[in-house]
Amino acid sequence: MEYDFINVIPPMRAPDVIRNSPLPWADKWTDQGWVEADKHSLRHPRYPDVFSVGDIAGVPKGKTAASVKWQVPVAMAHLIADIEGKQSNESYNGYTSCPLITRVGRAMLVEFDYKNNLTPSFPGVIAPLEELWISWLMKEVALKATYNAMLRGKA
Amino acid sequence: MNELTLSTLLAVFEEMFGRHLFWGLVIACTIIAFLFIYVIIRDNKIEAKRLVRAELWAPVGAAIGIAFVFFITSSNFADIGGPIDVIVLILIAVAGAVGMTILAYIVQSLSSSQKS
Repeated sequence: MEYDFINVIPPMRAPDVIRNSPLPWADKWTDQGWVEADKHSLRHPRYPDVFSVGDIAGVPKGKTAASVKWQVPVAMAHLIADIEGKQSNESYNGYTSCPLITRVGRAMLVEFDYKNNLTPSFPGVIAPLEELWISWLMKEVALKATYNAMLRGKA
Repeated sequence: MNELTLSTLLAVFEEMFGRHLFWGLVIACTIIAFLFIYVIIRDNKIEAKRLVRAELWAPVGAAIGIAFVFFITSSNFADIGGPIDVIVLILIAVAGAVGMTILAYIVQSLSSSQKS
């Protein structure tokens, strides 16, 4: 069979510790077992002390490191507000980032939210829908370094 | 966490280069900057002849800068896609040119002082 483009997504599911717990959605993604969560506050509707971010979070978008960068501050704000007995208005808008490599040396830095609105980090500088060398540079040297720094709690 | 702070930048650069290489480069840059200031204070002026000679090295520095970035990122001139790419390329070239000029000026100043 001839084709111009192939995009293979391997099967994905939450780790056993989540899937075998009461945390996953009862009526959504039942074969994958992501944690039930309000898509804006990331709070569990049935267990209000539980927040989920990253791969295990059962929200429509955001299983990327770029999303985690925006999810963690939201979950953190709600946790701190809870501890202080206050309410937080922080909300996650579904931000995610897909550096689409179109060839070795060029990429498109596509960022969007729940509503599929483009949310460029560098509006007017890096055009999200153009194949650019600078997007490739970002992907090659900056992104992984940023996410590694996040794992150290420094970014 | 959403703000870009100095500590965030430092952490990202540490991850980019590796901690030892990054701080090694910072120390090297600091030493070179101090040497540049030192020779200017020592000579009490910027020696025009030396500066012009040092500037001859600028294109070499620019070329090395661009070649280095292309090498590190497995790309080449054919990958330049839009105006912003050209601007980035120019900035890299300028950084390489300025760095090489300063280095060449320091080397000349220090070697000439040894002769005298």
